[in-house]
Amino acid sequence: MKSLSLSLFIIGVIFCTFQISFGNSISTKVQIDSLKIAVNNQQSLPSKVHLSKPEIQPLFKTERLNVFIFLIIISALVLTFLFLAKRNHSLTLRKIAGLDAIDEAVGRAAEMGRPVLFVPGSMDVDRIQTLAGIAILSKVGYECATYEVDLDVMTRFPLLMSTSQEILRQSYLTAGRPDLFSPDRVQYITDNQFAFAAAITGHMVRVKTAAHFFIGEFYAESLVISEAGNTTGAIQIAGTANSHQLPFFLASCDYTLIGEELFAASAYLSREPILLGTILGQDWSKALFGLLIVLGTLAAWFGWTDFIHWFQTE
Amino acid sequence: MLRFTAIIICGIAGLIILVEFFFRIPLFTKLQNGMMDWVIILLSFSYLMGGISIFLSHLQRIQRKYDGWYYSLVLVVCLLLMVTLGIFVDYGPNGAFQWLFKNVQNPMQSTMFALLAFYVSSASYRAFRVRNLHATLLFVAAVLVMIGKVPIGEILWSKFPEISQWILSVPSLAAQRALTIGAALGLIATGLKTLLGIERSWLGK
Amino acid sequence: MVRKVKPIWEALGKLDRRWVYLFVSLSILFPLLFPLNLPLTVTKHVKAVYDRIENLPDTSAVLIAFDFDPSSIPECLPMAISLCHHVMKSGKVLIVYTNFPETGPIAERVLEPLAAKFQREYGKHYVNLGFKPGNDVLLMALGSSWTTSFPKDFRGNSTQEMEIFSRFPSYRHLSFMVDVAHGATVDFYITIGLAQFGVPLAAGVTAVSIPQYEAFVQTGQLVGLLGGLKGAAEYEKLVGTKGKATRGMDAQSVAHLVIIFFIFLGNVSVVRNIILKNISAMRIKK
Repeated sequence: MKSLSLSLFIIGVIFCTFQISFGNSISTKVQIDSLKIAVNNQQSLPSKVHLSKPEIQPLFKTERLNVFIFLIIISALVLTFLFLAKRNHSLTLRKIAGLDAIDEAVGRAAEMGRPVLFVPGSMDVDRIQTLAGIAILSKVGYECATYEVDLDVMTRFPLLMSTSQEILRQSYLTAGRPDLFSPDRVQYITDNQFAFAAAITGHMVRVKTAAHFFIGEFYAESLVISEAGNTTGAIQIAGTANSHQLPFFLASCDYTLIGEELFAASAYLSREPILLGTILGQDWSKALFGLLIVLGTLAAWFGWTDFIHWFQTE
Repeated sequence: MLRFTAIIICGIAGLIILVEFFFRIPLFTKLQNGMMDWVIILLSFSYLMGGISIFLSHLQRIQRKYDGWYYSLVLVVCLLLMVTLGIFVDYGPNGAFQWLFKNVQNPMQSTMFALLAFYVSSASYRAFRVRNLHATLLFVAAVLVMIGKVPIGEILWSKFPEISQWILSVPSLAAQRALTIGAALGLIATGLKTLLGIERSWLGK
Repeated sequence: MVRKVKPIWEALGKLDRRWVYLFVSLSILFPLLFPLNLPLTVTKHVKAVYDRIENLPDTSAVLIAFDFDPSSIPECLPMAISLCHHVMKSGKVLIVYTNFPETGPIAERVLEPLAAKFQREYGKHYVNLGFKPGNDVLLMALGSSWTTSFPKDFRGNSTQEMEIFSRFPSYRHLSFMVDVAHGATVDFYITIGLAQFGVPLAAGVTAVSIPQYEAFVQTGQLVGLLGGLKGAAEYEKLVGTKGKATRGMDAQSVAHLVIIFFIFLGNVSVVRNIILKNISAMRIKK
């Protein structure tokens, strides 16, 4: 399977290189296409296609100045605390029950002699929530390797499957049990949302998995899988930053990571001072936003419209 | 070395997108467009890889007679049938592929989505218990929103839809925004850490 | 062995979930068989979408994205039908595409009868581009051109020769778009379609996503919002049709009442315990 993935990847890269080298990029194609259509149809040129010299626009997209400033401020705060954390090792995080419960969940699966199920969300690996889920998968994989518990991972996208396989391979290696790792237990199911949910519920009911982790970006399938998991009596830990799915997880799971707790997982689990520092940076950014909300309320109250309009994006 | 290369690629790709977002530099626009084309092509190939992976892994289950191998048999037969009908027979609106799609896949998927109604009811029945003040507030809000969001609510009392909308637009939205701001900050920090190579959990570290 | 019988109030709090499922099924089934014809009021979020389309000049193009798969047909399809009905009836150009591979044929089944009804010509007044993978990446590419990303439409026709794309060569040329979605696609129409290309938008989402997108209506990023079956029913009322959404509202009303009834049942033992606790506390005080 690995060689198949590699060969497909190489074919893909060759196609991409070919496309970049010999194909017109989309942006240049549009003008040519528009001109061709106009000439073929003997029509006047579309309004957006100009043959005259185009207007010179400023280098910086001024309409995004506010976003740029905030990005700089937040990044500066995060990076400052990151470097400060290198010197100060006494940073502590409040307890996050959902992350502390990982050991409990894997331990329970070990006692029962049943597998653990991990679902890293229902979006692809390009989403930050999925990356945060993968960080927890790494920890769960390590624990499962240590306690010799089988771990099933079900993914909705092929790239996520490959990534999860590599993550787990590394986790099992770190735990000193590479022999226990089986890439076949990391499965790509389908990218169809509810077929994916059906496969997970079927797996939970048939295999009787002892612990379930639903961590990442979830949508309407969240309740289907978590409620079906609840009926099996397994211990369930969920986590998402999608606020509209949180009520479902809270109702059906034993522990739920809420919003930013999911992004703090990597730092919390690794306890690396650098990563802990970034959390402090986030907290200060949050304080800044709190202050801005108060100022915004006052501005709305006293009619300082310029202040309010400055925050609008395009 | 491989890991270092991955971090460098990730950093450069992120930087190109960021620069293009804020600046008008034709080179970066071209690079971004090229990268977008790459993503679409790679995604298409990843689906091919995924399809082959499913086929081979379920074939293995059938060969080795794993528990529930007959489910794998159903999957393999259906997979082959749909691929054959879609590619070699007739993909048109009146073809067998579309017929199966319309009369088998559509109802099955709708059924899965419809299960939500049942799961919502059982989860609500279990979750909304008035054990303390917070739970009682949750219970009252849930009942008001549920009743205000359907026509019968308006018949019972004309104010129900207004109250329901107020709950959604004011307290619920305030909480949602707080969560969203927190999550967005976490998202930015995680993105930054990933681009700078500080966060390496996605590489298995 | 004598089986211990639970007191009724305790049993009510621990009902087998299958009883709940049975009653919810019946509450949906009966109103569908015997309609109650409950009156429906149009909310301002739905009216805003209707008004925006209605007030566009006839020369403008509207995109309706069919971003749902068969699973959410009951909620999303009635919205998509009513919106397409409205755009075609009002004489605007309609472009349809989807981010879901299964939805191209569904869009075709919606568009064909409407086009026949309002005498709209394919390729000139409306087009179904079908599916293309890429989601947000695809949308960024559409900002440059429709025809590059979709050289052929759903029917296999070349898009290069279509009049529609000479008048509206890219996403940026749209006057309005509505994303009928059951997932996260609305997010990238806001961040890319609106923020980068400046195309105003509204959304039609499943009921479960309403709280999430309510925020975007308040900030003005969404012109309006069609939420769940009720949103679809309200739009049907505005365009003057009586489709599946309108018929489904009775069932939804009764189902909500049944769920509320079960929530109350579940609380009987909890309330009883609270009362008993308070009484005993008062006795101790005395």
